[in-house]
Amino acid sequence: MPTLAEFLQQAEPLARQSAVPLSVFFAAIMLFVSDWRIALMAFAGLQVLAGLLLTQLLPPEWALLQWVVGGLVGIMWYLSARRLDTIRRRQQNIPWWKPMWRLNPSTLMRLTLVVLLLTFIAIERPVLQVPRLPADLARFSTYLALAGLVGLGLGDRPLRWGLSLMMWILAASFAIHALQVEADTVGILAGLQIVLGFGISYLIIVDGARFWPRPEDV
Amino acid sequence: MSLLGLVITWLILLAIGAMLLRRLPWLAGAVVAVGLGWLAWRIWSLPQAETALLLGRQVDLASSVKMLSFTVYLGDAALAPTLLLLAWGSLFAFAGMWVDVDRVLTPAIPLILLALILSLSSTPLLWAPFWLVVAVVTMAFPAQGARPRLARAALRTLLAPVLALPFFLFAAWVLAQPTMAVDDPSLWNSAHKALVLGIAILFTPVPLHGWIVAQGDQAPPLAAAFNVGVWQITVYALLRQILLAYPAVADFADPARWLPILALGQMVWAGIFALGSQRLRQLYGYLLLWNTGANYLLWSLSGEFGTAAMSTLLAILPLSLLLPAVGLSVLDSRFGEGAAYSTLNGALERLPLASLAFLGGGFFVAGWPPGALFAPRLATFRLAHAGGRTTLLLALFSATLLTLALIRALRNLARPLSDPRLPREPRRLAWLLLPLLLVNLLLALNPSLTDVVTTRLVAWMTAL
Repeated sequence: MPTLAEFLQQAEPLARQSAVPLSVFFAAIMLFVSDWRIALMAFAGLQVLAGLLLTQLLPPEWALLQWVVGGLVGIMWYLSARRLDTIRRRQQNIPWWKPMWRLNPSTLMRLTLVVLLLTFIAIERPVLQVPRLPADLARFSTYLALAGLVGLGLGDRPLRWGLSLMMWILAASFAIHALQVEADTVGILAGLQIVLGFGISYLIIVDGARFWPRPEDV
Repeated sequence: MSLLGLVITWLILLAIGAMLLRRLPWLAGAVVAVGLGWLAWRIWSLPQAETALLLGRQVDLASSVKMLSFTVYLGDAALAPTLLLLAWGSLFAFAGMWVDVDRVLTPAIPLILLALILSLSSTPLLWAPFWLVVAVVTMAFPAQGARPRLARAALRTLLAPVLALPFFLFAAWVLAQPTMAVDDPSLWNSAHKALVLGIAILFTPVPLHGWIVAQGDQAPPLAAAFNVGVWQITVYALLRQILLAYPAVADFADPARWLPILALGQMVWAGIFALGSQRLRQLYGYLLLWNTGANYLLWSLSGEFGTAAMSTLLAILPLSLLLPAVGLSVLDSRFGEGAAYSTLNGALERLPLASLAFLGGGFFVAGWPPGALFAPRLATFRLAHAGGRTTLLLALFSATLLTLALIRALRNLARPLSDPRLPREPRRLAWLLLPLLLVNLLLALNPSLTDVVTTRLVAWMTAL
């Protein structure tokens, strides 16, 4: 098993070359895909890559706290969403393995908005002017902040709001950690994500249970 | 033990007690109402000394609590809003007990108050929004209520402090560097702009107001009034502290110029959309928004941070705000949540107290006599008149729209009965509503009845 230093050395090419484009891709997936499993997988991928990118600004032990926090939040949301999904499938007699793809107008509208956002970013190249933040990370955090705000405007479903708020907080993490490398700030932002993750996981259940034939199952 | 340590312990014990008793909602409500009332009374009667005896323990009034890197201290500036928050909590727990509110609100009240009190006591001050996030996550539970429903109100409540927190953290770090103004003036200026932006988001002006309307429209009415009310108290007290601690903020956005514009924006927006409402819940949401705007207008127009005027207003506001909340709770239980105007047949005939409480409370919030808010609203209009004709006209225009919206609701509540099986309202409702009406009348006739409270609150808030 490699040590943390060895692992980061091995992951350095990924962090330098592919982490930002892959993160952009994952964030876009989180915004428009309707299947909660794919959205959560993209969330996990974004958190892993964000941890790697944060090693440019923070000591590795603190940067990789993003993995722990993202893991905890991801597990909470997975359990909530799976509970909803399991009961809905049981009540509607849909087998667990059958995918629930929905290419409806709502998904197409989200896809269009994401494409528009990416086009805007590619043409205008807006950059949040944060001191001491490397240019690529500044552009990436600007994208994350805009994507988060777009996601918040896409409706009132708890999982999508949670993902969008997490993108906003992640964007803020890059901007703030570029200025201050302090355990307090790392703790506040991690605590913020966990508190939000907890609240959103509760809301996923109580919001989704409206659609059950027997809401009292909640 | 510090005073804040005692407050934290007491509130956590109350929340646990209410949680254990949630199967007996009236008992849980009574425990929370009495517990919060007792704590408010003890804080009110604190001696002017360094120590006091509370619950048999020697309490050091000047000491702070350190939790990890957070230092929290219940100073004089935070004592006044803390007292208001506890009084609001006690009143709402009592009303919730009386009208059988769903079992989520009562245990959440002490926890919401705890998070808000911690935000007011936070050191550094600009870390306070972290506790506001904790508070809004806790508010999400009563906003969602005890049964599955659309999560819009709860989700939108999360928005303001989460969006604002990064701006506050950025400003906190820059403004904590004493030499930054000389070393990097552009960063210093950026920090102030970030602080202004953070304050504006917490202020939730139109179009960031969505959570207030969503609370009124979607959340249980008592929970909505409570959440919006305690948020207003906290944000007012917090922004007052921030403006005092960082006066340079005024160089970037002058509060005397911007606050009235934001407040009037909220009032006019609320008035227009209240008139277009198709449901009582919708009207209630815009009533809460109008009330928020009117309160901020008073703050912005009365000098010295509006300390005396806002202390009086926030002390008597729940007495008027409880009326529409309780009335709407009962109407909801008979006609269903989100019932359209066209389905409210026989409301005034079978549920006269609830209907009149909703309408009367609405008129009282709008400033009509004989409501307790008559004097503060009149003062607002007089100050608006002194501030300029446009301000007065816009304020009166919004109040007129809201009044017309309430008259429209009255016409719909007075529709003839169509279903003779519509059950009547519980008789015990009178024992809550009539004393509330009486107190409103007394305060409208003699507003100086609150002077004892206001004087103490102002003394605390203005103490150096």
